[in-house]
Amino acid sequence: MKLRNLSKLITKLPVFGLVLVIVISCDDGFNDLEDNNVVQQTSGFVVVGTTASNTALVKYFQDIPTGTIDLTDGFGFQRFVPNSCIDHALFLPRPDGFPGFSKYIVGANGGLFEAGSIPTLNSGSFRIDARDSSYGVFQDRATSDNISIFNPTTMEVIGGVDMTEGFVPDDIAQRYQRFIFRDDDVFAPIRGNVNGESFTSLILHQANVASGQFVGDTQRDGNGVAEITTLNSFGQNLTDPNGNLYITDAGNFTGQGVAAAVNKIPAGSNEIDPGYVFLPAVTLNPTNVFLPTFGGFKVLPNGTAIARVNASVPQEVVDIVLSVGGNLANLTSNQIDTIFNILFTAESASWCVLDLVALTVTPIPGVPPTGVFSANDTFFHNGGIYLPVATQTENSFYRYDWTTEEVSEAFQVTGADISIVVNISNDN
Amino acid sequence: MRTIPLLLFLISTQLFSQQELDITGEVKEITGAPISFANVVLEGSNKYAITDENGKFKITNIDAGTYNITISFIGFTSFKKTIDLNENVKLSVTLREGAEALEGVTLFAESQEQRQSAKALTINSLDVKKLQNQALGVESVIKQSTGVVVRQSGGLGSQVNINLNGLTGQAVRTYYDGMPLELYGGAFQINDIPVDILSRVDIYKGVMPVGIGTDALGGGINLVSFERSEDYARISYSFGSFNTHRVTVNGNHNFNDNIAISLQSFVNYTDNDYLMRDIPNFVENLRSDGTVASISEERIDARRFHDRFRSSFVKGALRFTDIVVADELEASLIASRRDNQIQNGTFITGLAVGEAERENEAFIGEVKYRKRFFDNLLDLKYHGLFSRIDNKVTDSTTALYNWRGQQLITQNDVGSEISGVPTQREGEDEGTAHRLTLRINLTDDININISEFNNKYVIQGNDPIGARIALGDEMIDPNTIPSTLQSNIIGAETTFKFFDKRLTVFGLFKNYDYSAESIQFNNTSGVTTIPLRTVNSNDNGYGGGFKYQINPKLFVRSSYEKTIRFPTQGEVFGDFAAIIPNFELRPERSNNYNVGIRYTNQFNDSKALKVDLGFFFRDQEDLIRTIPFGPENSQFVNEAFVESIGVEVSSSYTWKNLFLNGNLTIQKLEIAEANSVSSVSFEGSPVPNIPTTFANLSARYKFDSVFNSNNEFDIAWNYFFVDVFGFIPLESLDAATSINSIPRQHLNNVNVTYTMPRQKLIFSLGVQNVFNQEVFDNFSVPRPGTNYNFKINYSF
Repeated sequence: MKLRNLSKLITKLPVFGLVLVIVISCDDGFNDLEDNNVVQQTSGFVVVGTTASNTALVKYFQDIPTGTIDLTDGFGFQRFVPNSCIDHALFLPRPDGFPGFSKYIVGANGGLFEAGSIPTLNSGSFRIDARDSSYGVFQDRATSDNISIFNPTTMEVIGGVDMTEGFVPDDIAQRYQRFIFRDDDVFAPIRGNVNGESFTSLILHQANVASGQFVGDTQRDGNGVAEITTLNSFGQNLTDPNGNLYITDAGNFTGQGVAAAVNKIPAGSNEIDPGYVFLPAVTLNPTNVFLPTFGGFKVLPNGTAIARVNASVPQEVVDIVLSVGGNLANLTSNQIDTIFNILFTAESASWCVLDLVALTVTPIPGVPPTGVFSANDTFFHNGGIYLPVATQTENSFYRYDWTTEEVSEAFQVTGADISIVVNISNDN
Repeated sequence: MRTIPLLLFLISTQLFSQQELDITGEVKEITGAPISFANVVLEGSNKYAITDENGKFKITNIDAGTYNITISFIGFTSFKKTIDLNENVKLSVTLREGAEALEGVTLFAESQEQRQSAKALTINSLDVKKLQNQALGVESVIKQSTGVVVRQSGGLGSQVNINLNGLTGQAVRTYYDGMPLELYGGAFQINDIPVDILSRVDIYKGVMPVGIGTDALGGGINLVSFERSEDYARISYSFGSFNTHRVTVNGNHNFNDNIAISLQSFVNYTDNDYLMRDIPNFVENLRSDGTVASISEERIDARRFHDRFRSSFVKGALRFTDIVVADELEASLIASRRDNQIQNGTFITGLAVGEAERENEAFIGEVKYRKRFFDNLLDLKYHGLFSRIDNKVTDSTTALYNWRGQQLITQNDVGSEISGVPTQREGEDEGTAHRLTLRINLTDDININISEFNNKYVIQGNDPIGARIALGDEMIDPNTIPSTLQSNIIGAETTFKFFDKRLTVFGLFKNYDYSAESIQFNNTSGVTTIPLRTVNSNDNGYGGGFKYQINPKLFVRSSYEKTIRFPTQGEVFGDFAAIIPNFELRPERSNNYNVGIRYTNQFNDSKALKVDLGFFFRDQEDLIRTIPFGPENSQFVNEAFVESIGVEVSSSYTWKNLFLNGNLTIQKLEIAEANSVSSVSFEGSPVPNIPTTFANLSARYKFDSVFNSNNEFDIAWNYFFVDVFGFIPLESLDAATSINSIPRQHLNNVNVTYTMPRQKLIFSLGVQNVFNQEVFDNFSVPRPGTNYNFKINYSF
C-alpha cells in the first residue's frame, strides 16, 4: 500500500468540500410574500387575461379601467376562472391547477390572496357557485350524484344533497355544468360526467340548499340534441323583476339545425315552460342553419336581456353550400370540417338586446361583431353593462347603458387576450 | 483538424533479416473500451499506424529484428515495449488514463469525441466510455452538455423531456445509431439506458447532417452504440437506494477474422420508493356512521408506493467483416420489455395514482451493411430495421388513493386516475426504417454525402372501454382502424476544405416527404363507411456553414439550417376525445443559426485548456400549439412565431491528474409574431416552462497507484444548477412564486471509483444529491433526495 498516495487523496478532499459549500449556499430564487395580514379590498375590478400558453394573467384596478391597460405585469396563474363573487371575494377552481376550489380576495396593495380552499377528489371538478355569505354549492365530479353545500365565509363544507333521483338519460353518471339560484333552490343543467355527453334535451336537476334535499328535475321540450356547454358563464343575473328564471342552452352547433333557446321557468314553478319558445339566433337570422347559437346571456334590471347572438353566415360558407346545390346532405366530411373551421372563428356574432316578452332580438349598434365563442363574460358597473369584444383588431370592453342605449368603448387590454373582468363590488 | 503538431522521433533500430512481417493489435482503455486514433510508432523503422474506430491497427512489411514500439494517446500514459520480431506479432495493449507524456514528444491525436466536436456544424460529443464505471443512465450524461436540460417526471424510468437550445418536446429527436429511438421500444429510452452500452453521445444543435436525423426541428441527440471487435466480456451489477438494481452483460467473440457474435443486454429494476417532502395529501373526514362528510388537505412527507419500474433489453448480433460482398455486415435481433407503475400525473396533488400502469414489449430485426469501393472513393452504408411494439395502458379504476397509500372510501365515478377518461388500450405498432448513405470521397478535401431515410409506422390497437364511432348501426372502436405515418427524407451534403484544410465549408439540402392516414372521429354523423382521412406534405430544407482554423489553437465556425418538423399523428388526427383533428396543419419550420469560437491550448505535457463560446438563434415559424376549439374542445393549430436566442460557454482544464469542466447556458425565448391576429397581444411574451439559465461544474481527480502499483482511485464531483423559471409566462423572475414557478435547483453528485486492472475489477460508489436538497425537475414533482449506488464491473 502506498500511504503517500492515500495521504494525497485525503489532503485533496477538503478542496472538494470547500467548493461544494460554495455552490450549495443559494436559495430557491423566490421572492417570499411579505404580507400575511391581508386587508381586503371591497371595490374595484379584477381583470383576467389569457396568455399565449393558455395560462392566466390577473391584475387588480381600483377604478374602472380607461384607455389601454396592460396585463403584462399581472399575477401569473395556471388558470383563473372565477365562477362567482360574494362579499368581494372570488370563488373559482384552484388557480394552481390542483383539484379543488379557492376563495380569492384582493389585498390593500392590489395583490391577490387565497382566503380559503376546498379540496376535491376529482381534478376535473370545475364549478362552484356562491349564493350569499351563507350558502354555496359545488360538485366534486368523483361523486357525481352529489352536490356539496359550503359556507362561503368559512369555506367549510356544511352539507350535501343526494341527487340520485334526478333523471339522467341511460342512467349514466352526470356532471353539473353550473348552479343557478332562486331563493333556496338551485337548478343545475347536466351532462355526461365521463365523456361530456350531451342529451336530447336540456335537463335541469333541482335541489334545496336549506333542506339539503333533492327537489326534482325538468327539461326543455325534447326537440333534438341541445349542447349545453356554453352555460359555463360567470355568476347569476338570470331572473327578471317578476321572478321568472331564464336558463339558456346553446342549441346544436354540429350542423343538425336545433337552435339555441332561452328557456323560461316561470315564477313559482319548478318546470321549464314548454309554451315559451324563444330562439334568438333564428329570430335574428332565419337562414342561420349551421350555428344558430348565442352566449353571454344576462337579464338586465329593466327586464330585458343581453346576449351575443350568432347573426350572420359567412359568405365562404354560403359558397361551399351552393357548390353542392344547396343540399346540406351532399356536403363531404372535408367540406363540413372547412365550414366549422370558418364558423368557429368567424366574427359573425353581435351583442344584442333580447326582449324576453316580445321575443325580439335587436343588435346593439356601435359594438363590433365578434366570434360567437370568444370571451363572453360581462360585468355591471354604474348603470351600464360592459361587453367583451375580442376580434382581429380589438381586445377591449364596450359599455352599454340600457337606460339611454348609449354605447362607448370603455377600455382596451394589452398583454393578454381578454378573458373576464369581475367587479368585486357586486355580489354575483 | 489536428490541433497539436506532430513531432515524430526516430530511434535507430538494428536490422536482423530481410523477412517482411506484420504487427497487428488493438488498443483499449482499462474499461475495455477501444481507443481510436492512438499513435503506434515502430521506432527505427519509419513505420507507424493510427488505430481505427475499433482501436485496431496494423503495420505491415516490417523487416525482422528488434524494435521499440510506442503507443500513445492524449490523456493516457504511453505504452513502450521492445519486440523481437521474427514472426508476425499480435498485441493487445491497455492504456491507463493520465497526462504523462513521452519525453520530448507533443501528442497530436484527437479522440473521436474531440473530432466530432470540432466539426463545422455545432456538435457536442460526449465521451461515455469514461463514465462506464459509474452507475449512470444516459440522461445523466446528456445534461452535462451546454444548451441541454433534461427534465424527468420522477425516478428511474420516468418520463423525460429534453430541452435543446430552447426547443423542446417533439422538436428534439433522439436516435440510436442514427435511427429514431422510439423504434426500439419502451425499454430503450433516454431514462433507462445504462451508459455501459454506449460509446458516446452526439448532440447536434440546430443543424443535422444528412446521414443522421430526420425531421428534427431543433437538433437531435444520437446515442452511439459501444462496439468492440476483440474478444471480451464485461459484466456490471449495481445496486442502490430505492431497491434499485441494474445489470449489464456485454461481450464479443470472434470465430475468426471474419465472423463474430456480440451481445448487449441490460436489466433494470427499481421500486422508486423515495421520500417526497411536504406534499399535499387528501384525507376523508368521516361522520359517526362511517360515511364521508368532507375532504381535507394536509401536508406530509410521503414515500412513493406505486412507482415500480422494470425493463430489460437484449441485442444479439452476428457480424461479418472483410468478406467478399461487404466490408461490414451485421444482422441483429433485439428484444426489450418494460413495465412500470404510474404514481402521479403532471402535478403532485393530494391524491396518488395507485393502480394505473403501462407495459411495452418490442421485437426488432436490424441489418447494417457497409462496403467501400474503388479504394475508398465510394463508401456505401445501409442501416435498416423492422420493429413490432406491443403496448398497453391501464387506467380504469374507480378506486382513489392518498399519499399514505390508503384507499379512500369514496369511489371515483370518472373511472380513471390520470387520463381524464378510462382506458385499457392495447396497441400493436409496427415500424420500418431504412437509411441508405453513399459517401463519395472525391479528393482528400472534397466529399459528397447522399442519404435517404424512409420510415413507416402502422399504429392500431383496441380499447374495450374507449370512445366509439357510430358507423351506420354499428359502434366501432377507432383504435382498431390502422393509422399509418410514412416519411421519406432524402438529402445531399458536400464538404470542401481549402487553404491547407484551414477552411472547411459545407452545404446541405434535404427534401422532406410525409403522408399520414387515420380515421376521422369528428363530424361523422350519418357516415356508413370508415371515414379515413389522409394528409400529405412535401417540403425542402437547406443549410450550410463553415469553420476557419485561425491558428492551431483557435477556430471559428458558423452554421445554418432551415429545418422541418412534421406534425405528429395526434396533432393532425386528434385523440378520439377532446382534441379535434386539424387536417390543414402545416409542419413547423425553424431557421437555426449557430456561431462559435473555440480556443484550445496544450500548455505543456500535463496542462491543457479548452474554451468554447457559442451563440445560437432559432427563428421558429408556424409553431404548433393547442387552442380552444368551440366552447370546450381544443385543436392543434399553426399559431405563433417564436424566437430564441442564447449564449453557451463551456471550458475544460486539465492539470496533471485533475480534470475540471464547466459550462453555462443563458437563453431567452419569446413570441415574436402571432399569425392569429386575435393574439397580437401575445407578441413579446416569454415562452414559459423552459429554463433560461443553467450550468454545471465537474471536477475529477485521479490518484495513481493507490494500495497497489497498478490500481487507480478516482473521485469525481458534479454540480448542476438550474435557475428559477416559470411554468407560466412571467414578465420577470420577481413574480416567481411556488404556484407559478419551479424553484432554483442545486444538485450535487459525488462518485468514487477504484480500478484494479490486474483483477479486471472496477468498483464505483456514487452519491446523488449529496446535500439532500429539494429538486423538482418537472413542475412540482419532487425528485429523490440523497441516494446511493454501488457498482461492480468485471471484464474478462
